[in-house]
Amino acid sequence: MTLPTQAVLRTLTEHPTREFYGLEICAAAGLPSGTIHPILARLESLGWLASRWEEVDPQQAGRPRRRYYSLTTDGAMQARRALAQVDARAAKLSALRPRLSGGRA
Amino acid sequence: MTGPEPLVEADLLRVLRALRTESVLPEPWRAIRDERLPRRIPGTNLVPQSPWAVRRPLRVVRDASSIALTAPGYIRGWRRGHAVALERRTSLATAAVERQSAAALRRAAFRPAAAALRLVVQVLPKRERGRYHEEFRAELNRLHGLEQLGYAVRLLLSAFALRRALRSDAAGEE
Repeated sequence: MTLPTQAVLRTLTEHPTREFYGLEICAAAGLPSGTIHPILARLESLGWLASRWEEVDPQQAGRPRRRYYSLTTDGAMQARRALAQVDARAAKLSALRPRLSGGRA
Repeated sequence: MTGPEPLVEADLLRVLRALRTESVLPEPWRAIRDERLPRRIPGTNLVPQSPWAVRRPLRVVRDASSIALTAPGYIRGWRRGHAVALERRTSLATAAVERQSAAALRRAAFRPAAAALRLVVQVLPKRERGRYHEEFRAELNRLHGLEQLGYAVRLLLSAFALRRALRSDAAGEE
């Protein structure tokens, strides 16, 4: 799992009931705007995310509708599991690092 | 015991009219017109109780040494005031120029960004174009100036990744 995907999933799992639109996810995850749509599309195709249109009249609001994304119930579980695996792997690697670098005799 | 009967209004009016007919009293309009008020000349015909009546007018003294004592302070104050006014005028002018250039930049940045969006959408599978065009436009609308350009460039760079993700999704559905 790539770092941007992890960042997106961490943002969404922190607020599992909240809906975000693309720019909000970018800002919350600390990613540059316009880079997360492939990630969102992949996660949506996996069924981890659901999306819907904002319920406003574009004419009245004076702007196009936003697309809101949120984690599905199954997606939230899967995302937490995947992130836990990533964290465990990272912990193992960091435990190995001192030995590899000659930190321990 | 009863006192003298009080004069009623009608009796008073009758007495006044009689006096006016005998020219003992002038007509009210004549009194106003004929007897002019004294002409007021400021500082000369003062009423006795006026504080100005007892005060003698100040004599203007132009003493070079006393002027020299206060002049540096006056000049310093004038210069400071002038500098503040100039500073304020400059800052106002700068703010106006900045506002105009920001608006111009926003206008200039929006067109290429919108063109880039259209290009990105053309890369995507046909059935997804409408959705992503609206989604991208909504996000572009939220950004300003150079942010819009940056957003459009990053979308361009990730357009093929998005196409792959959408195609794999379509393949999975089939």
